[in-house]
Amino acid sequence: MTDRSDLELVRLFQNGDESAFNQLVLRYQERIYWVARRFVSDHEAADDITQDVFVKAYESLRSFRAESSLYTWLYRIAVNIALNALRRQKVKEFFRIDELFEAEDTGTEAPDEAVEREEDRALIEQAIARLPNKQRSVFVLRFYEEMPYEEIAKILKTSVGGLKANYFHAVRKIQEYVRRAHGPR
Amino acid sequence: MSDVHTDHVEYLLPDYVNGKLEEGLNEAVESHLRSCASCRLEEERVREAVLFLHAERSTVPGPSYFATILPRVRQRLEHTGTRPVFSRPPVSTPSRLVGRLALPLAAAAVAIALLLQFPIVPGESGSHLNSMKLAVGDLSSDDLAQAVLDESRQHPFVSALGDREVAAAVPDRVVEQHLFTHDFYSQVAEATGPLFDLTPSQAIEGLSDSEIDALLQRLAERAML
Repeated sequence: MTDRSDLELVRLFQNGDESAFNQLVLRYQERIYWVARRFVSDHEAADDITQDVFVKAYESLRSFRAESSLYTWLYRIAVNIALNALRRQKVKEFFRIDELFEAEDTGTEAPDEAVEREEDRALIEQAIARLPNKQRSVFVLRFYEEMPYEEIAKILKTSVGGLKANYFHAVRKIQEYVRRAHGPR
Repeated sequence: MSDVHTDHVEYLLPDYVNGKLEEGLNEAVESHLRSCASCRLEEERVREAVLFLHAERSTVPGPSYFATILPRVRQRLEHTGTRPVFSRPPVSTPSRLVGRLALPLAAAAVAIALLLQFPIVPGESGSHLNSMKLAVGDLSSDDLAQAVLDESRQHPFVSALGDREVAAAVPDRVVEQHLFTHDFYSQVAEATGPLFDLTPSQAIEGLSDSEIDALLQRLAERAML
């Protein structure tokens, strides 16, 4: 079963073989998790999204017609669910708007190496979170997933033209955000 | 060697720095960078970002985490009784909850629209409030929800409240609470951009009952202009 192609597993599942679906989950769970993680930054949210993706896939796989690869189809579901999660987070944050005025703790102690790495990680997450949805999607799929632009275009249901510009602007915004956070050196 | 236009070179830089450019473009980009100082500066900035990104290591879940995904997915499927059928019963829209949310949202939007047309004049606030109540009371829940969406497209919350006529009509007690400062506008604009792209059902999807109650309370507070 583990040597079967995605399409073979899908056909088996569509013919009633539940274990074929299990194989698909095992095959893609890490990749889907990391895509989700790059969008929402924290493990718990990424875990929820990952499960949502495979539940959605289970519900919809019977009507999958291989017009795109399964890989593209799953990624599209993951991106959509991740963006919806981000929208819900925005709604919650809007109605807790008082917290936006709380001063950030800038810290005064010199961080040790582990803390500095954690701060850098948080900086990157913040920078990515500030990107517009399309730039964020293109950045995550190109930089972390190393997808070809043609695949990204299929996942995002957009044309290839402009994706390189999205990617460039995303990288520059991240660079600018991190540079401002670090201050003059 | 491919011809690379100056205004397209910068879009190639992230892939160039990452070594992901298509064959033939690398040399073209390098040749261009030798002769273009502004692109060299951009390349430096992109390289700075890419190095920083590559150095980052996200907190990796424990080794046993991925082994738990399939069992939990299966558990959820069993719990919800999900079956891989071709056509499923339509997901019931939580119409009760949509109705609960649409009314305060629409009331706020209609109140803003009415304020724009009927600025509050001291001594006439009672009749003004009655006019608003009448206007809201005549609409159905669906109409109110649609009014929210229409109103948000035509009169975005921030720009409506930034209008001098409306600002003058806002009661002093609200101004005293600093709800309508410029910073607040900026924060709201940033936070509600996506909000106004949502339908009411999308906005509340996934929220618990207690979260919806808190949200309705905040909306009611804001609708009391």
